[in-house]
Amino acid sequence: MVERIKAVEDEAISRLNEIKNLQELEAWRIRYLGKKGLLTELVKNLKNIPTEDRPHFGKNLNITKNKLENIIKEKRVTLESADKEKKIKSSAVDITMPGKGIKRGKLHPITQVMNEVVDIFLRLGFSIADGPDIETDYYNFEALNIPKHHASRDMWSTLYIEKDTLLRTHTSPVQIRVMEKKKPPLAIIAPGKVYRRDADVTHSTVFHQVEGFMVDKNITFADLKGTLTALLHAIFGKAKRVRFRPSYFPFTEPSAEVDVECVNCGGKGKLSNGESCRVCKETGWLEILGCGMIDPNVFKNLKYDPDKYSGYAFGMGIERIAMLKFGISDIRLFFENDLRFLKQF
Amino acid sequence: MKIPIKWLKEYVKFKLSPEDLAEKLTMAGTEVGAIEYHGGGIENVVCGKIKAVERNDAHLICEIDLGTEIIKTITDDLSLQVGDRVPVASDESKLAEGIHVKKIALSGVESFGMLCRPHELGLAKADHVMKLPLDAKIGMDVKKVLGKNGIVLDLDVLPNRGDLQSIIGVAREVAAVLNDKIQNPNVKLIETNRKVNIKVEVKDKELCPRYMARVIEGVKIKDSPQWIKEKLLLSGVRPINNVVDITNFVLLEYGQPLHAFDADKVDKIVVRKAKAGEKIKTLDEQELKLDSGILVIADSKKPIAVAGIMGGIGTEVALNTQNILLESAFFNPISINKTSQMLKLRSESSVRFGKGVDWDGVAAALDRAAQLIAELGEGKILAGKIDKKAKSRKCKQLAIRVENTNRLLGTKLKAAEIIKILGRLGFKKIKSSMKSVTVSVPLSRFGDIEREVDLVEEVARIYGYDKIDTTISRVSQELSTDAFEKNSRKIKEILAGAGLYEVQTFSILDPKYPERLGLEADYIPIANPLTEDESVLRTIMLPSILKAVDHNLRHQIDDLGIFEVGKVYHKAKSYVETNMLAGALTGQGADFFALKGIIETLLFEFGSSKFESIQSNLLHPGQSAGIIFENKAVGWFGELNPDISKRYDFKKPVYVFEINLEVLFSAIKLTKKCKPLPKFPKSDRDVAMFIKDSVTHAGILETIREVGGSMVEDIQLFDVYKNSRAYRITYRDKNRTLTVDEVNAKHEEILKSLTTKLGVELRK
Ligand SMILES: [Zn+2]
Repeated sequence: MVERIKAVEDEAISRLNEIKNLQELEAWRIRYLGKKGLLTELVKNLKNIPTEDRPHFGKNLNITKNKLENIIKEKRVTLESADKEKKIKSSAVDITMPGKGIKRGKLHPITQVMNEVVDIFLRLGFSIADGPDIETDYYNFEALNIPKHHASRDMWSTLYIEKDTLLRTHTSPVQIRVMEKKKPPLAIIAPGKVYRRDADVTHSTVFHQVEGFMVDKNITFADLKGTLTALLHAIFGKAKRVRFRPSYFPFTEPSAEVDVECVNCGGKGKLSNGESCRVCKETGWLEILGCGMIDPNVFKNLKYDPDKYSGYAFGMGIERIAMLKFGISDIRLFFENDLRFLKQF
Repeated sequence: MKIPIKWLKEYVKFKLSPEDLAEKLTMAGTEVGAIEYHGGGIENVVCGKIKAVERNDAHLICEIDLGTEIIKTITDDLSLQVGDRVPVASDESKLAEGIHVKKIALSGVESFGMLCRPHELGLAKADHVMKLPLDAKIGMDVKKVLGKNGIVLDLDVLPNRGDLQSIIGVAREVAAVLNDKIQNPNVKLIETNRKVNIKVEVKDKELCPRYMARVIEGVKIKDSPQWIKEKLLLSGVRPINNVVDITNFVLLEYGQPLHAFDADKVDKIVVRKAKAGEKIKTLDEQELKLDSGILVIADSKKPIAVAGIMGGIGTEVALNTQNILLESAFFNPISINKTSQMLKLRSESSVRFGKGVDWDGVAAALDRAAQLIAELGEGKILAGKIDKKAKSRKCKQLAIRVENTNRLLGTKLKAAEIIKILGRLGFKKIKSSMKSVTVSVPLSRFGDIEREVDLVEEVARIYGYDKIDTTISRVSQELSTDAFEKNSRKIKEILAGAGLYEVQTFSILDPKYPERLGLEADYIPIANPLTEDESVLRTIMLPSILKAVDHNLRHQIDDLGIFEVGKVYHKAKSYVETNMLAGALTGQGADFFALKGIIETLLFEFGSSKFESIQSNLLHPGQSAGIIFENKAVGWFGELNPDISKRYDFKKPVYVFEINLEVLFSAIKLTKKCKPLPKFPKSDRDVAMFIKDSVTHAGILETIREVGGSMVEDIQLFDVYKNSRAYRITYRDKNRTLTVDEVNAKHEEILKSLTTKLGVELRK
């Protein structure tokens, strides 16, 4: 009887060595340890054995059973970990394959710069206002202290719809439209399209401006300098030098042109290879925007008392800033809307 | 305005380099656009004399004497004449930076060398070959002819600074900036005993508040001396003869335009408005029709000059002229600008009169020119001068308040500093206190400095903008919602997120667009367009969008999705501008439902939307839909009508949409309210079926909802193949858990209804 147990054990161990996967292991378990397995059959057979032999026989049977159970446990761990490894191996991916995807579009570079400028002013407490593209001569010129036949009208080449109706040449009419309706304190920005009868690589008949102005008691030229310096540092970086130089606009007095250090040559006027810088025409400075203190004549038209209120105003071309920021040399690229161009920003 | 440094130094002494001076002037408000170095870098360019010219189509073949040899050169400047002196470059010449000798070859004619235009020698840009003075020596290096290494500042004079349109004016500004003094030219007149006898009558004193004249007799017309020629050439003016050169020289020196008449051809001077129908032939040989608003200088019969703008032919100074009538006047700037615009005539004179000249300069320049004509033309100045003026102009007095100056500038200036700064600019102190300073304004700044704030600006720019603080103020205004900005940014972000690229197009278009789209031409035209392509305002976004599509397709970008937020323009009682959203989709993956999905996704952000069928000539009749948002028609979308597509030569279908943002934004409901989440589980049942062509998705939904009632929470279409549809119906009750039997019974009921009502064939 003991021999029979030994024979089953030997057979089980020798068969176990040939097992290669978990299914075979399960079949092996059923054959020897299952409900109808060989070892179980031997246990059932106990009742046919003489009573005095039973303890000895039972003990042997238990040892074999424990032995086989331990072996299968070990074998299972080995097979499972091999199996896991195989699964992981077979599900490894080529991580250089392209992502599945959501194809995202982009905002136009003009919008990106416009949003950047607008957001800076919103943080400074400005509100947004707008006005029509089709303007009257009054709002576009006269109310801004630019009378008819004045030499300064030459500063704007104008597209007319009819007599005294035109496409606004700047966003400045919004100043008048807002101040007609509201009283100070005011801090307003007005982004929008403007039109000039002028086109080449840096001029477009249609382009975008952001107008801004602040009116209250005791608003100074120093405030104008501080605000616009902060703006230009935010756009072009804090390290860039900014300068204000006297200029002339009919609707501001004093007036200034604001220059920022050339982004192409770092303000040196020359490139590192010794060639002269074309972006700034060797001056080291880039003209970015015009500004000044709102002219008392503008206030008088609006019945604001210029001795009580003061304010600054500024206007900047968004295409110009975008061209400098992104290194775009031809303004027409903005309006061709070539996807290969738009994808770059 | 071109300022030769050497000439400038005759009036103001300074040791600064041209670069440092340019920087100082720029920072005081007069931008130096360029510093020109004449002759620097120019080599082997010599003066040649034209011996013969022969016309050959669009070219002239010139025979040119170079002293050592005679060459043949071809040029496209047809204005050259025998006798002209011109700069000639050869293969070995060095020209201004970046310019090389170009050879023009013409069949059968060999060309040697090139005739230079001014910019090729580092001078101002011009269309014509440069003409050198007639006494320039043949074969001489042009550097010597031009004045060796002349350095010239090219100033961008601001429109309000008429006083800087002269060498003396700039000298005054330089003196103010450098805190120095200027030296005026020394004018000594020797008059003969005989008195001026010409009659001058000014009929319109408003348009001509001052008219002065002198007569110089026995003048010899000849070439000017080298020192005048050199200054004119460096200033960009071509020398002609001594009298004309002197008027130009004084114009540059004083900023006062002068006109020289042949005194023997003028019986009297009448300054008056032109009569309707009068005509004049100007010096540049144009015949101008005058109208009654235009101020003219006339003799007893007819106009002989358009006042302040251009002289007439017939009374000009010619080689045989002996007696000169020299005019110096002050004309009304507005009237000059009007006339100049009306006649489309601009001249050095009209530009200066248009900005206003110096009242005192009218007299000073007249004397200066008379003196030079007498000196260089060996003439005699008749005693006395004509001076007809409305009334004498006196220096204006203006007060500037110290506190107001500091209030505007954010400075802490004191009265003494203000007096000092204004003094440098020639404003004399009349009286002053701690609080206020009164000064007299020099006549050269008349019309520019009229108010206190103008003085504040003068103080600020000489004090230095760079010395003013930088501070930031905020104001306490009401917060605005900026709703349009917020919503349009949302739209842009959503559409970009959905794979579309934002475009920016022109709102002005080619007037042919309505024809291409089969629309009525109800656009607003521009009266003075720059080009035909940009001559009308759009009434619809579509043509702009299609232009962008067209550009991309032509450049082999076949798959694209684009959109734009922009305006359209209509004329009703007044002009109406409407904010729109539009876009297009074409190429791979583009179809009606791809676009519909994008629009649904977009509108889901703002509220509830649905679609209805519409008829539009712009769209494919079988693939067009109207967009309804919160029960308002806000726009349309679909496949672009194949007829239009054909006109654009689009090979694949293009799907387009347009939404009126004004209507959309006004329909947005501001309140968002939270509903409780379901507490009980749901049960899903699927149904698959074959449908007839007449059955629509909307019809199926309607049938399911009708039978399902409140038990049906949601219906999802999850599979479509030809006429096969599969839906998943979600059942739920918000107050209890539904039993399996209840759900099965309801589902059976729905299936039955689909079969009987819609005739669908259920799939098992
Ligand atoms: Zn640069």
